[in-house]
Amino acid sequence: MKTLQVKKYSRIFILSIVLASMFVSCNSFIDELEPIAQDSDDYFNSAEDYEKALIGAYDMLQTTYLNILTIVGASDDIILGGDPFTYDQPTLQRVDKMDITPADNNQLRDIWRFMYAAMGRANYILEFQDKTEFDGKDEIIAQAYFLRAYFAFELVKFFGDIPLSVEERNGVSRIQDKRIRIGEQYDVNRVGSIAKVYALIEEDLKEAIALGLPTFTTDASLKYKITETAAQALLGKVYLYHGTFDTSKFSDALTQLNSVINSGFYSLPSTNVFLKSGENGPGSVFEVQYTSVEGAGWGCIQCSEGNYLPQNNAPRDYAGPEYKSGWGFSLPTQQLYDAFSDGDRRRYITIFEPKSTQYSPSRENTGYFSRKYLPTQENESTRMGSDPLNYDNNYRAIRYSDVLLMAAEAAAQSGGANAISYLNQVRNRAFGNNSHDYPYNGESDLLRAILDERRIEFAGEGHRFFDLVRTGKAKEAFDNYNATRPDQTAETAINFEENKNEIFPIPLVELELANAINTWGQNPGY
Amino acid sequence: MRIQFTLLFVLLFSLSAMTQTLNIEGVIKDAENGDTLPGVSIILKGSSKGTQSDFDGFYSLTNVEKGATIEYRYLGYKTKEIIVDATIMNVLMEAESESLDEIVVVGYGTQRKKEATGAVSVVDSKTIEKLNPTRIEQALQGQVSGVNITSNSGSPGSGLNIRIRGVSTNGDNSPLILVDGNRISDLSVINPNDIKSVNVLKDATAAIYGVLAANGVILIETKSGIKNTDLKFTVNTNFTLQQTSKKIDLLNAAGLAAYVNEATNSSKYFIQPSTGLVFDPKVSATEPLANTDWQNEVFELAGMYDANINASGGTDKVAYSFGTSFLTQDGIIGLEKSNYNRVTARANVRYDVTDKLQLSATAIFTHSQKNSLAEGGIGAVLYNAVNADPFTLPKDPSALSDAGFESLRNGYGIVKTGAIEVSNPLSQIASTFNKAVIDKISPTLAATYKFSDKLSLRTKYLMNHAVVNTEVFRPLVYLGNNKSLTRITNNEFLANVDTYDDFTWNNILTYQDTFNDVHNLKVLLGHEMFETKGLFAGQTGISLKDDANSIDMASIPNFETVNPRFQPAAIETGGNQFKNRLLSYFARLEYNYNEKYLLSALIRRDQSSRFSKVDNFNVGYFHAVSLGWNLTEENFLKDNDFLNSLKLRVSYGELGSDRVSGGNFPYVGSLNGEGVYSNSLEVSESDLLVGIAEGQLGNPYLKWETTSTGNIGLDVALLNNKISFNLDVYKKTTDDLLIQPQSSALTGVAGIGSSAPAINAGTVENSGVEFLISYRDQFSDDFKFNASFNFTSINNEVTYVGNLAGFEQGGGFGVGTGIVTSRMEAGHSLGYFYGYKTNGIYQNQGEIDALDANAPVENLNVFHKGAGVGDLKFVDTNGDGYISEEDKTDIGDPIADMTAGLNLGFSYKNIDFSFSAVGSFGNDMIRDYQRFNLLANKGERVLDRWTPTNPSNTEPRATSGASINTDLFSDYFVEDASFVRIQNVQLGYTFDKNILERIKLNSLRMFLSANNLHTFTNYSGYDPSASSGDAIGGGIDRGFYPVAKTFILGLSLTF
Repeated sequence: MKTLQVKKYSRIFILSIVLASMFVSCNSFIDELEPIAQDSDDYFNSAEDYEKALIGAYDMLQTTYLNILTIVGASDDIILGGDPFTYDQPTLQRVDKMDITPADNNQLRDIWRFMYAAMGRANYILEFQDKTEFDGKDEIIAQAYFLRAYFAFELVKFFGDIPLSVEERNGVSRIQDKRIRIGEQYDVNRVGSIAKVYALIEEDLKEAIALGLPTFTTDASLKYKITETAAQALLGKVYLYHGTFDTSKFSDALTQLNSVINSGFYSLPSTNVFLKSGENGPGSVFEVQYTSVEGAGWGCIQCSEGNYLPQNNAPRDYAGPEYKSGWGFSLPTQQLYDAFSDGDRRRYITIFEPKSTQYSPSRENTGYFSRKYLPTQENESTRMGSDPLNYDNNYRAIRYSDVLLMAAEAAAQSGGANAISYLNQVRNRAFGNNSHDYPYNGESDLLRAILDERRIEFAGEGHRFFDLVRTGKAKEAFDNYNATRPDQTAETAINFEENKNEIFPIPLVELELANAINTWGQNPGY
Repeated sequence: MRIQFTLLFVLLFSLSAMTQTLNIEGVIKDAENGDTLPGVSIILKGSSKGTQSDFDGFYSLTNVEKGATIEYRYLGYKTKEIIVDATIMNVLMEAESESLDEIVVVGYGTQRKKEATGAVSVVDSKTIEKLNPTRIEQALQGQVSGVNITSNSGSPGSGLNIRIRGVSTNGDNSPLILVDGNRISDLSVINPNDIKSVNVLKDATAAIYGVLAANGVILIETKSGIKNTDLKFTVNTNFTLQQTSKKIDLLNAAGLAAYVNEATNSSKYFIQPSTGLVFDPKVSATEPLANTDWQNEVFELAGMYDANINASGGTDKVAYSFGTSFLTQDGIIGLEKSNYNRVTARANVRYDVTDKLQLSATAIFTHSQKNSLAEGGIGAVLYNAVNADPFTLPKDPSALSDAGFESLRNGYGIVKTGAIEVSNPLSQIASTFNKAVIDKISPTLAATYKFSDKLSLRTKYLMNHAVVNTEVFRPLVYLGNNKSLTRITNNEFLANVDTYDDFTWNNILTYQDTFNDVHNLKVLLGHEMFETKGLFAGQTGISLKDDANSIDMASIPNFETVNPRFQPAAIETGGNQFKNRLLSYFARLEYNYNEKYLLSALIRRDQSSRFSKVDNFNVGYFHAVSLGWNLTEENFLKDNDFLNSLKLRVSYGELGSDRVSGGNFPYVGSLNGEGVYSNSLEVSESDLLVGIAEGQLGNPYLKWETTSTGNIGLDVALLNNKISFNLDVYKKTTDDLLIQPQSSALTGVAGIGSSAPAINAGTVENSGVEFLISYRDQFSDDFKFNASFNFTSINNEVTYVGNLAGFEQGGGFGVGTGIVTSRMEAGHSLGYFYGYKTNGIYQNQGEIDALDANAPVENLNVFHKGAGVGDLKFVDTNGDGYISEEDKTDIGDPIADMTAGLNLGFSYKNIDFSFSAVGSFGNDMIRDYQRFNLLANKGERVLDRWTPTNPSNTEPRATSGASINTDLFSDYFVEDASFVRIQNVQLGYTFDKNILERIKLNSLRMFLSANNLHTFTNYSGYDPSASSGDAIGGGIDRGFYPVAKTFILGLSLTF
């Protein structure tokens, strides 16, 4: 009996030890496992952290090829073709014909998504701008403000009075320097008007300039950086757009654009600036940098550091010496072709006319293709990856000729000086002589001459639609296009409606996801 | 430790103090087939002394007086009494009928089925052997109720989706799978012949696995040896021929030419009236075009061979079982380009060190190599075979119009269908080199110490180590201008190495006792630690040196440029690895009163590293209670001749899931977004400007999702166990669904490499009935018969979606259309199809005008632009008088309403025959294997298209490109994919023992078998049973690789 008692207690004793040791040894098992990934709320502890976050924000610039390939089609100058045997990207073709609906989920929604994400990346830096002090921080913060302004400007151009989280800072209405976190989207509202959005963007750019941006450099490896003159040019552009609603902004625009012109850093090269050799040259005030050293895949086109515009623009099945073939989307209209005067060198730079035996026609083929961004055999030979999505053509976002023509327009609108001189600098370069200077061929309406010049100078670069809208000439232009279609059966008419199609609908699903069908409401007419 | 030895010593001393007794042991087997019988009650008559045989039929009794009588009792067998006269007492028991009272594995232990209170389904080794699967999942299909198996590809070595009791989450729906207790999610590494049993825990009793158990648990036991048995070898070898089970009916050249001519209202492709031959006017007015049947070109008759040998036996201390197997299987597309080779080796050893201490070890080693071709959608071989025009010759010696790439064409024809992404599938197969090699070892080690017959402690360590080497070579090849598959600049070689490691350590204390002969009690206390981690590495070589273009040259050093798979920045932010841990404590109490009233209660505490430590968000408690009532133990039923057993079961409990998509630590925001920019001067990828960006956003309040399950079950056996049936009715509600929802763009979730945080939002209900009936009878010594039928009904409904939009969406349709097909929304099945209803075809313009008259102007541009007579007629479901976005509605769902299985078998003398069929009813599929391009080939369905002379009301007119028929997703593309499939038909012959003895064989059986012999379905695509496995976006058929129809000649022998 005693043996049994001993046995019993021994067992209990052993068990207790075993069980206790199990519990003790395991307590730290979970606690000691720290997250491998860095915590995004515990960053910005060094200058390097800020620099890396800034590169992260720059990265989103590369998604803007999508903005360009979409908006070129919204104009009277370019038809979005693609595969002739199907509606290849029907949502692009609806942009082309102004048949857009809020349910269209492709390109417009991506523009909306990428640009808000891009603002989020800039805000990520701005939210933590006071966390760590180091030399050169102001320059980083300034660039972040520029980028936020750039992305917000893209959004307001496409979608009008966009929702932003806004606060009063030093008596001025400003975009909040913080990310919109999950749950907070329900509290964000539209700014109130397009003009108010412009004002917010202007404040960001003014602060960027005040904080001090890098100055123009000839160091090729630093050419990607946002410069003070780039910020002035963008600010001038925003003021110019703002002028549509408040004419007093035209003189503000002129001031900024004159600063760029008077900086002396820029000129109008006589060579084709859209060649590889023209990248980051004296004709560019701001370029989005692309490279083809990294492969790209269909699963995430925007993940590459390359440009998709060239593939989108090139003729289908093209077989020729200079270019690669592509999807044949960006087709200049006959009217655009005809808009170039004989002797204007820009027609060749803008429009590519392959022989009809060299390619397969696209839907609504015009025989013309946008030459400015084409995939060349040269860049194909160094391009990585098999999917043809990553060409290295930089996007010339703000060209010096744009600065000159914007300055001319701002001057003409505000009674400033040099409007004709600025216009003629551009024409002079285009024709190689001053015999086509304004006033030409009896054209005596300076503003119209400037707008026409913009159409010719920037065709295929994505400015035309926004220029038409801000100058109130969209309806007129599209009516004219519809009336002058060479082939009334092959080319479909464009359904531009005033007070509706000036801006695009907010993608329906994005309204739903923000529970904003009633708070923001859809854009008018959609 | 010293105390332990003291205890041992005390125990040993007390044993030796006894006299005139024997320590007996033995193995109890079925007299007829030699199967060991576990769970046999062994009682020393006239005493309270007794035991049960273990899982392998082994038992032992100590201190038994010589001459005493031992009684062996086992349900369904004749009770046997034997007088003790030796220490080894092996027993053969004769069955009263064929019905066994099986042992079921219930998680960290076993139960006799009679004592079980949970809904557990068992598939035994006999069934597995009969079905002869290459993967064990195939043996579950149609055999047990409540389990649905779908495949996302019939290609060799491909995985299958297992769904237990429906789809309960829009995340990961696969069950927890444990092989000998070891977590193995990829069952391709297991040779089915090594498996003794598969147990499926379907209800709340799976809660013993806590946060792992929400989707059910599958417990697989590998074969083990038996003590005191002779060494026995089993050899199985099969040779199999495989062919495609389906070809889609497609147009021939004349048919497509006619369609194209009609659609374009032209004669782009001529058809010569006199000959019917098709010409391409661009090339020649006389030379006939090809009439290629691409499916005939790509599908091949493929072989498969597998062999395995198992050896098992045991001494009085050791039981062992070893197995090795070899499988080589060619694909029915591309043969060796989609083949699968596997070698496995397995060991299972148990060693009784002392009466008290038992050690056991198992190990599974697998080496497999899988080659694969592109599957599923645009760019896939089958997609190309279905869509390539028949005008192209597979091999075409004639010159190309786009010259310059002759050397990269390898003699293959270039499809004529313009720039659409359709290529010659044969050329694609020839230029694909895609190989994955897996080496995996899965050992387990366990030690069990029996403090007494009642109390034991087991510690077990289990681990998996796997290395996956993936190699992809992309040679220079020309498949046509503008085809993505064309590669004319740089060849490329990917060499990735992924390493996966996990370990589990658990300690389990069990106490088992009987009080007053009637109160049977079992208590289990346990503890478990689990860690899993993975490390990914690799390199990409670009452009082979010396302009080489051969797979033989493809090794990383031979390439001009080599890029690492992960940049330093990605490694810094943890993008190349994952790591998770789980710490658990659990307890289970089982009690029964005289095997009449049964109770089981369990609780588990889990702590998962996937959730925040703050405020114990990472701690979860799970529990279950189940009750059973064996009515046949009641006096009023005890002695009836009709009912052999009748049991009622009820269970309720809560289970969990911590399987959250994306990120190891979803409670913190990660910095692994993509933030790379360029200064435009780069010459290689390493020169890029590398920044950081937010990746998946964090959610500190994240917790596991919870499933509460209620189950009522009935088990009946009648007429000498000839007929048995089980009925289970269940309802499970999954709450706090772990989802990564679409979020408003304002939150920045669309940044490159970024994604929305995981959140707990959503509720899904699954309810249904499971029924299994089986009948077995022996009509004479020579003739035996068995039949079983099971069915499962599933009613799946989302009851809540926790975002303000009220739905989640996913799944795409067509190429580049942006159409999203599937939704998760309250009131509908999870992943239902959201689109337009159609009601025939417009037969006159008046019908169109009537709808347009009511529509706002801007609406016309989208919905009725170009609509004409002969187009699909959409239904104005909301009754506002016109067709708009708001008319989209529920047009089907991919979840079957009912699945069923039928198994029949008989044997007559030496001949045996078996038959099994599976069926699935009410599952819909989206037909998305066709490219909406005029020159892409079409299904034969368009032969009945609407024309003025053939006013079809089902098939729309021929259209070139833009058309409401194809630009809008409608029920025209949704087909009922219900099917009944003859899964297996088998005829076997077993040789007579007396013949075999002369050649020293124990048994020899040969068989002929056919798998997937025929599928009865109205579905037009390759495989109505296929699914991507996605909860939202499943059931979209972009050309699933069909399951092969196979014919097997097999041989199995033991000696």
